[in-house]
Amino acid sequence: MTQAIEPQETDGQESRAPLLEIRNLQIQYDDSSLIGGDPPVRAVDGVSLDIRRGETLGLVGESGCGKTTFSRALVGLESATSGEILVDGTDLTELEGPALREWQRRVGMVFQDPQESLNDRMTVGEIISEPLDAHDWQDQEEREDRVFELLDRVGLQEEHFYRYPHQFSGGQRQRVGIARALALEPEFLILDEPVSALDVSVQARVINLLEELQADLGLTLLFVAHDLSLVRHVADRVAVMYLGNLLEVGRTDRLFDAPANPYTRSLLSAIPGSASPAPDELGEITLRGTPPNPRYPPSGCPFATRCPAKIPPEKYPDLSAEEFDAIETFRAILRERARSSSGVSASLKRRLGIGTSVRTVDEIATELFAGLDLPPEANEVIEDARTSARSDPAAALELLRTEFASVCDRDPPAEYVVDDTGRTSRCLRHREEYDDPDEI
Amino acid sequence: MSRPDGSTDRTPGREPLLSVSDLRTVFYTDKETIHAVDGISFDIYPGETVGLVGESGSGKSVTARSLLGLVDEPGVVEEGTLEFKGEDLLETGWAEYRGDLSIVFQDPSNALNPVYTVGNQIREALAIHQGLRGSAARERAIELLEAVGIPDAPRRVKEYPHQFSGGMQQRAVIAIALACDPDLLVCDEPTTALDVTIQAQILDLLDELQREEDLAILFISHDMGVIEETADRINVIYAGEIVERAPTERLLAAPEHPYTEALLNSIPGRTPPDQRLPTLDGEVPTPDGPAESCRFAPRCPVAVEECHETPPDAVAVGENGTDHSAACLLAGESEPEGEQ
Repeated sequence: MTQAIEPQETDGQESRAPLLEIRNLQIQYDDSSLIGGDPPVRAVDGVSLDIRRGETLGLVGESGCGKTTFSRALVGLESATSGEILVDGTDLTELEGPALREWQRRVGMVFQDPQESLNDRMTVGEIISEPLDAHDWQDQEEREDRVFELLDRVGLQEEHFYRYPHQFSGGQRQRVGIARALALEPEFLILDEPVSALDVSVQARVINLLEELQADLGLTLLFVAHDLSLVRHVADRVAVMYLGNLLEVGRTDRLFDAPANPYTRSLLSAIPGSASPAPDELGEITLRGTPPNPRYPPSGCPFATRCPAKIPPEKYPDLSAEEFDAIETFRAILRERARSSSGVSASLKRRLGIGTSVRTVDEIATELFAGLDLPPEANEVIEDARTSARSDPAAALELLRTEFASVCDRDPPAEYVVDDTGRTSRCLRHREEYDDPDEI
Repeated sequence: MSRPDGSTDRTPGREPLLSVSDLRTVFYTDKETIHAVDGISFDIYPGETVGLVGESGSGKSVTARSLLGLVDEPGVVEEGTLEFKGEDLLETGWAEYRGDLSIVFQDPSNALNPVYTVGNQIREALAIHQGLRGSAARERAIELLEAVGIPDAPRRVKEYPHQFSGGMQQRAVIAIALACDPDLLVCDEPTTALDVTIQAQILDLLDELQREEDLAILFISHDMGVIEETADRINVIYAGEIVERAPTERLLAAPEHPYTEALLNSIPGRTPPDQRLPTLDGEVPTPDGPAESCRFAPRCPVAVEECHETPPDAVAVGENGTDHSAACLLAGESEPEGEQ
């Protein structure tokens, strides 16, 4: 294996030359039929990132945030809607045919569930030599030698060649998956949740194997995972993804010791147990709700609908956290309503006067704002919104949006450099006029 | 309750809600006989959370299913008593207590019926277990969805499971479980399929419900972090046996069984990032016969010859009456970490 780690002016991670330069990558799924007018799903929504030679980059985020789509795009398994993925100056998104296959030879993939990703009707030997066959690598005899070498490399025995996956434990199956990924001597390994289906005691062995392989073969690793403790252990740098956007990217130690973005902070604080790598002063931040539908992402900051550090509305800078929260919850409910009442059947129901239970919006609002002492102007607008919610939740939503607009609802946050290692975070609170997220 | 090992669970004077004693569940297949649960005992008191932690194949889920009479063919609960409110469930059967014990499984999408609305499924449970029907049931269903933190419950109650996200589905399953008005909620890996942020929401919810309803919870997980956050006391299960039992803080601070120690060590957060993760060789064995030695001995870093010859009894290792016991021949003799 040739390895191109180019030492530059400083040592450490920053000095490594990029293997991949991803520039403003967008991947959208447009599955609307002829009559349906649904906007496309924005799975990856403008990601720029370098993956450096020889590093382990951790990619974390909740399910559905676009991690898997993003990593599949790096091997040409998803086609980009726009943006570039540069390798040695060539844009991967433009590659086809033999040129694409040549790149795919340089990349190995390991999937989450070794049970499902290995064909149970093939012997382990056949599974591992599959990529060799597909790429017409050398001749039969040399392929076989290569498979035995790989078995040894990942800690399996020669006799395992003739066995079937179902005769193996989960950890062994994942070793088979790793051996297969290594077959064509890739320089880059994409590991999509490689150990999340394994028991902790087995997990540790697979992780150690991966670290060994990386050290011996000079591999670049993209480690996609939801287990942040594990990422803390294996990754040199971490990228935090939310709704197709990278909200924070930086050195693992810095990101875990002093998370800059409110989303990173919330994610870390959610790790249970005393062995959590989250800093103690983070306390407990419980996020409300789930990530929004990527078909209808918020217009400002992607995290604005759940953010615990959202900047208060410009018109009401002194709103208490409780009051702001009630308004935000009311908006979230109306947003749901507005969406469900936009379909054909809903508008038909409205015309027939069947309507979606109007009374309950009122009830919910009564409960939400009970005991709160909002400024009179604010109260007036909420009353108006309640009235119009009966017939038109979208209009009510618009009323609230105008009155209680936060800069987070309006401006997509730019990337701010947050420390001296070049760590970046997307959050409007990094602007000078606001308190930083960690002061909230 | 006194046990073969002489230990008693805490709180004298308060009766346990469920007392499991020497439970044995065996699976008979053509090829082999698997002692999936091999003589397990523990108590659960009202309002507390007991954790059951172990790796896959350790017998956690079979234990859960045994408690609820849900063991499928070819499995048989062969021995033991399940004393619930003073009666042995294995003798009386579950019919009378159906609603008193509820279970929440790992995968919410399997637990919900896709062709009925969520409200329908909650109302069914309400009708069966609380005799509520009509508008009373409709209102209660909405209340329950609200109680489990589903926003806009009046509308959500009319939706089908596929319209709910994974976290919402699990909340709905918990709402159905609560519709039975249970005294004991068995949670079998309830958050394993969920993201950490949603997991945190569900754990908060369970905690809140427990305080409000004096609910007893048996919380089963492979994740020590989750168990630590939820359980008052922890049972560590290995190859069908409880190998260690202690109050949560005590177990984490002073594990006595080498398996518990190994399990704790393999949590990535416990090892500095620049060090290799400590490993434990081998896999959980399938208990295919009565124990003739310590089942952990083949993987145990500190095993001595005797460990391969004698099955260990649980011995009390707690100080000042702490309910802490470990099934290890070396337990209590000296600190295991001193024996590397």
